Amino acid sequence: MDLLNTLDIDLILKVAFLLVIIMYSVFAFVIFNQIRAMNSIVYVPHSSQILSVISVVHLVFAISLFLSSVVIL
Amino acid sequence: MPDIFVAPAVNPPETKMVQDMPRRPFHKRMGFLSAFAERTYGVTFANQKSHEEIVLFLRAHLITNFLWIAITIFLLFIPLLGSVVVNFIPSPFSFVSGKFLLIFLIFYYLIVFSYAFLNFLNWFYNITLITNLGVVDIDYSGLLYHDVAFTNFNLVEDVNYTKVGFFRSLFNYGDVFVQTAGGRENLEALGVPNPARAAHVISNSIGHGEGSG
Repeated sequence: MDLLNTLDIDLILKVAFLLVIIMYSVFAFVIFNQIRAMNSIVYVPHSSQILSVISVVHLVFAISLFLSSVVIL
Repeated sequence: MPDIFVAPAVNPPETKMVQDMPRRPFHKRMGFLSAFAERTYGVTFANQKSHEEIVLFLRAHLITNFLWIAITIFLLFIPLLGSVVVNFIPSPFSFVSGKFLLIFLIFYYLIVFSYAFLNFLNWFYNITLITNLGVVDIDYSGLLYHDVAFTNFNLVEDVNYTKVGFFRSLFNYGDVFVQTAGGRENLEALGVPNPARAAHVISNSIGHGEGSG
């Protein structure tokens, strides 16, 4: 209990959140890479481009969430 | 006897015969959610030969996505349900400040989006292509696994399809199985629309690929 009192709960939560969001950003990058790889295997006009854009937006959003968390938390 | 009136000559209207009509190319454009497309254009795949054309484009029927779509919709409403429940019972997370809850909420919806997106990608990239030379089976699952199989028609021995169950009969989708020669893996197209037509297209092409006698 003394240990919990000395440790800042907010700091622990912040570190945990940032770690999870970093891992998620890596996951988003993997999605982006896989879509790029699959589009080189089979390309459907317009549809493949839409998926590429969505994956880029998703990756940017994940990275933005991480940066926002660093600032906000 | 002299003519009193001579009607001016009227050229008969030109009537175009059907065979004189300019022929439209027998190719259709793919839609974003297309699952069955004959003679589509624009789609390309790796190792496609210059004279190879796609005769039939197959994906699983859209209705096969119903389960994950329903789960996604349910997951979208969970935070709303949680906010209602918190009004009646004491929140176990009262020690957490609001900024953490905000970031958690955004991250939660990002997770839900990823779940839906990955399921969509599983559907989108699981494709079976019937070309004028053979069959291309593209399997994609779990983000990190994909498998591409090319089989010429001269190696295709048999094709059959199954359509079992109420929903499959209602929505006209089923499984198409392509049996290949020798030790090669058999190809399957699961949950595709109009499996009878797909099997018919493949069976008409058996033995017509490159290298056939």
